[in-house]
Amino acid sequence: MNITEFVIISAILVGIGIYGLVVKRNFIKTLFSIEIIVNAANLNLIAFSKFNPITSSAGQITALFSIAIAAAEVAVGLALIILAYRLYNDVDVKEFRRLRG
Amino acid sequence: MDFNTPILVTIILAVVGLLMPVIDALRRERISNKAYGIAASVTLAIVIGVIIFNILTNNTSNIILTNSVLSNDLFGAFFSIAMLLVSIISTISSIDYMRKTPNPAVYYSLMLLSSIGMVLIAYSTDLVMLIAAWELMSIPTYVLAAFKKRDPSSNEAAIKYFIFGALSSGLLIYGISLVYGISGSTNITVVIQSLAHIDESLSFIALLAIVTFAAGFGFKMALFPFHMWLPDTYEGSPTTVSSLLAAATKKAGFAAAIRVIVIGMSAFSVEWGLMFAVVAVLTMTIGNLAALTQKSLTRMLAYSSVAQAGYILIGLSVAPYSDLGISSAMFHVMNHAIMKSSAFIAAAAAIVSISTVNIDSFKGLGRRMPVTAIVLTISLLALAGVPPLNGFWSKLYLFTAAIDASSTVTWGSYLALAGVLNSALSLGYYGWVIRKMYFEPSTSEKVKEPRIILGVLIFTLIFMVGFGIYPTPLIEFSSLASPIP
Amino acid sequence: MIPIEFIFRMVEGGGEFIHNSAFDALAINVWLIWILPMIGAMISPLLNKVSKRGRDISPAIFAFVSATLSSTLIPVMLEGDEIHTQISWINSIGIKAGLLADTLSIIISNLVAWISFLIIVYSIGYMKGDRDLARYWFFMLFFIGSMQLIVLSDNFLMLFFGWEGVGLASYALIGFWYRDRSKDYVGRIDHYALAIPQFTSPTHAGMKAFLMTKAGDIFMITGIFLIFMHTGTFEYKPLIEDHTWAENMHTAGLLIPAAVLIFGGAIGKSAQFPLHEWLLEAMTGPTAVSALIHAATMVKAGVYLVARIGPIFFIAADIASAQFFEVVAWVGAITAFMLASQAIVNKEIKKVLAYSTGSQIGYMMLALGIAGLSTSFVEGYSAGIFHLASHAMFKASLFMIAGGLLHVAESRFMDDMGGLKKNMKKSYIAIMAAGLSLAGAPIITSGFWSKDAIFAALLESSYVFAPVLYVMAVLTAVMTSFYTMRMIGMAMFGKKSKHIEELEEHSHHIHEVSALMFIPFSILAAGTIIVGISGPFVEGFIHERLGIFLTNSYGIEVEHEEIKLNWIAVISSLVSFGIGAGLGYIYYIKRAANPEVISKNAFTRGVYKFLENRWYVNSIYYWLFVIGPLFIARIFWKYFENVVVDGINPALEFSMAWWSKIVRYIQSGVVQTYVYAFGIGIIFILIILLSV
Repeated sequence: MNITEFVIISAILVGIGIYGLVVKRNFIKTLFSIEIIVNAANLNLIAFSKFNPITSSAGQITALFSIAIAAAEVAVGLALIILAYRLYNDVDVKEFRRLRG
Repeated sequence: MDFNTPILVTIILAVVGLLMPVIDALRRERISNKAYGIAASVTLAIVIGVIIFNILTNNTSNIILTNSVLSNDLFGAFFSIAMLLVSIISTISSIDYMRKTPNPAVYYSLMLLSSIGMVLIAYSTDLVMLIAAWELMSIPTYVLAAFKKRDPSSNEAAIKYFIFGALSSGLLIYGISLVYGISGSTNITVVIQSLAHIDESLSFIALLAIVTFAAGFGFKMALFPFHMWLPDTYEGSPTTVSSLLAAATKKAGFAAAIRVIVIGMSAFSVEWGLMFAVVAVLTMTIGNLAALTQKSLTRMLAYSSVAQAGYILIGLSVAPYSDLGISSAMFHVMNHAIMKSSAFIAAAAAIVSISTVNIDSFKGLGRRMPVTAIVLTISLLALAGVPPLNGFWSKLYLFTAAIDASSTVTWGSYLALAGVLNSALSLGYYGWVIRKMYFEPSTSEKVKEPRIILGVLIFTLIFMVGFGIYPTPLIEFSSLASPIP
Repeated sequence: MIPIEFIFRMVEGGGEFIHNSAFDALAINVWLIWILPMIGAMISPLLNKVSKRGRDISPAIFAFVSATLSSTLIPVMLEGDEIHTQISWINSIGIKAGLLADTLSIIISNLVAWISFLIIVYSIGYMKGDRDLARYWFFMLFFIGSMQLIVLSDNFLMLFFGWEGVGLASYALIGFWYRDRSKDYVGRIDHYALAIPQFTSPTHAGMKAFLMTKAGDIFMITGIFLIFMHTGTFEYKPLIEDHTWAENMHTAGLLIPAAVLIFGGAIGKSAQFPLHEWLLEAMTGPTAVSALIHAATMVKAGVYLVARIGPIFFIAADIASAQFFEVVAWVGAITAFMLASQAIVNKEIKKVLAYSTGSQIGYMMLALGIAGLSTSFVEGYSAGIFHLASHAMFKASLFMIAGGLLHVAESRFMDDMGGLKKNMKKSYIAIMAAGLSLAGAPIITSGFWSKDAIFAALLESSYVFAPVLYVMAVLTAVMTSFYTMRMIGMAMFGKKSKHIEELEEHSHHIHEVSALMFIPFSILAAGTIIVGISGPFVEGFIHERLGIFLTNSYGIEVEHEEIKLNWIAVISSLVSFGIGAGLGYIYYIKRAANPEVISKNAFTRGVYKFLENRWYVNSIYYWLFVIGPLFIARIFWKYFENVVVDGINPALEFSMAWWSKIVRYIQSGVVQTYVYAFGIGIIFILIILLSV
């Protein structure tokens, strides 16, 4: 596989992630979509790191950082949804509509 | 390279920030909420002092492009001071506003940790450092926005903020990956050089990178169409947290945007200036229009923040064509930080005293809470750009920069015109609040105003009026600190 | 160690001393002189919440410190030196904020500062028990700060800021008793002239003062901008150094108009003809206010302005400026004559003093005007400044005494007083001293020497109409001494009036005023006698110092010669005092003849009515400038505003609200919509970037 294919795949993944965010109503699925986007970026980083003529490991280091960061984010996200479930008894994002206008 | 200051700041804030929950868990008897608040405020004050001391002793240059991850330059110092001032304002006000919360240690420690992120964003010269600091700043704020555990609005605000924030971070990392692919490094200096000699076939990727950066930073800066989370989040979160979000994290977005897009992409020949200009006009207009018929003060201030980001963006969009561009934007950043946080803290005072921010119930506030009303009035007038307050000067410089650029690009004068019209429009809803406070008879008695918040408000009042009468120090500071691309 | 250049660079942006003198260390004092009262004003409302005593004492402290700082500048004046400091303020247009402390400003600044201090002390006693004292102190201190700013600034722009500041303070203090109780009015309640009421409430008086002086201010700012357009600067010094601006303006025919326009501001502020009417109604304010603002300081601001710009025009334009000085001199003479004539028939004690003030300022303008029309500029100049100082002292004293009389007799009409000298010994001595000074009693009073100096300057002048001015001045002096004696006689001598007897029946006894009140006015009254006794020396001193000042700062040649007495002037002074005071004495003090005799004769009755109705000037103004325009405005309102403008407003409001609702509709509250918009946004930006 050459570099172009990886780039295209990661672009498609980003698209899927955004689609997931827009369409899916369950908050857990939203978290999935966000993870997909982050992982698409990680894929990109690692691919460039391998295929780039000036092979540097900066890409892989960045990918490691990003994995850790994504984990932290998801942790916070889960905490939020637990709180939401206690208050609304629901994880349907579409129902969170008190604040509007 | 000398980057002692940001590291020193990080260490101080991290130590206090991490120790506070530990102390809270270990001690048997309860320490009062105030103690944590005072500790946090003192720490922030020390940190601001460190940065100012550093400016005075080193006389650092305006921007340093280095091969390492941080650079101790005046640009970073400027933004750090602006953001830390807002942090300290919010922290001190929280002593009154959050006096009943069950876990204050966590609250203040999150504020301190978020501040570390802000400072590091301001000083960073490497994309990885940037993204790490970005997350460090944002994640605590997701929690802070949901801090009122039993209030569904607070929770909803935090969820919306979180979804958008996470999406933007993901996009940012994606953008960084693209840039890394083109240049082979994540250091901004290297990125600049490689973008200057870019291969034609790769230019689409660079374009995509700019788009994702604009989206990612644009979310934080609340540009149209990435602003939609903002009104809900500012309305739902605790007001002191809204102040932090509105005035501090937003500025971090601008700091990052300047470093990455304006400096970093300056070598890439695409007219992102026009793109920013279009976004700026749309942002201003939508923000001001939506604010006109709001009933809640915090929501109105949220839309006002959206509009103000539009003004700042005017400065950035003419940056390639005018010398004044970035410095006027930075000047307005500093001014807006104080003005907006002042307005939000006044709203917080209203919540503490009369438990509502519905504008209709502000009737006669001029008599009931005189000091708060005066400071709120001055903040709103300053936001509208009324002389002799500081907002007037920064808006003047922004529009001057736009007109200055119109000698090179035709849309410069239209941009200025849009700015002026929007300023006039904004006076409509600011004036509405002022009218309610002073020109309508009050229904109830005088209310006790929270003392500590009053002190903070008076400080911001002196800042706004003082720098309105004598703006020269700030103008000099922002000129010295601004990088000329 | 720590280089503070960085901060300096930021704060001062290029601050500098323009003229390095040995006294530069005192530069900070100059700034503090006007900043301290402003700070005191800001603190006053806060102190009101904390401590009532503190609120009353702190203004005195601020005034005292400011006055002391002013006195530290006296050595500068004695050396003939000056302190000139500037900091750059708005860099982009090159405007600097600066202060200039030279001989003229130091003299007047000291005068203002010390008299202000004494009057503040007096106010503590006079205004005791008033419930709005916080507001009073705020405006008094704000006034002092603004007045010092006028006197000390080195450019027209800052002068204008101070000018407006004193105007605001004056408006607020004239209308201080805004609840408009009938005892705070001025004028007889049923007095009408040409169908215009001649009595005014405090709120109306405040508005009238504000608007009239504002008219003058508009002229002034026009004149200032005319000069700015030709010189590119607001500062005084560049105008003196390079005279090309004067030549340019003269060829364009703008020189005299600009000068007269600036003088217009002085006319307004100093209550000269034709903008003199506001001063009389200004008496609705508390007497301390009248003493400070309308006798000793604010009304002198106009004189200061003329003293500042007079030499500039004299040296820059030479002969071409003669017309300007003519205008000044004639306006002064006419005002002096007109207002003195109205004072001789007035029945309210404060109004007599108000007319008197306007008239005496006319003398000062006359002196300054004639200075520009003589070969020796310094004669008239020093006479005018000397009279300014001398008048400030005795007039402030007279007002303070009048305030005491008002308090005690509970009426502002002199008819309701009488025979007060028996129980108010200290006021009696003081009023005699100050009153004789106003009248120009020979040798021992400062008023004599200053008036004599003015007469001498008039005689020395080679101006063709000088004799006419001279006659007017002498006649005014006669009237001045007459009405002064009349005032003292009606209030202090004779039998007690019915009103006083009624008061005493209700056991409200006539007594001397408290120490806080009589010490200040006694100091000033004593001062006027001391200056009088050492008259020639004081006059010589002022003459010499101003001569040095004019030479050093403006380059005007001054011959140093001994002061010689001009015998014609001296004799005129003595004679006019004799006639005027004599008549006053006969009619009002000795009560040897009955002044009611004038009502017997139709002619004198007519003259009396004419004078009493203020030469009908007030009424004419009301018809022309108030009733007329209001009528036109009402027509406009009916046919234009109601129809056109009120039609547009709702349309605008409706459309904007409609747009607002549309935008808000998009914020549906559902996150997915938001993310959807986010996605569209990305595509949108991509398209923009690709298409450009």
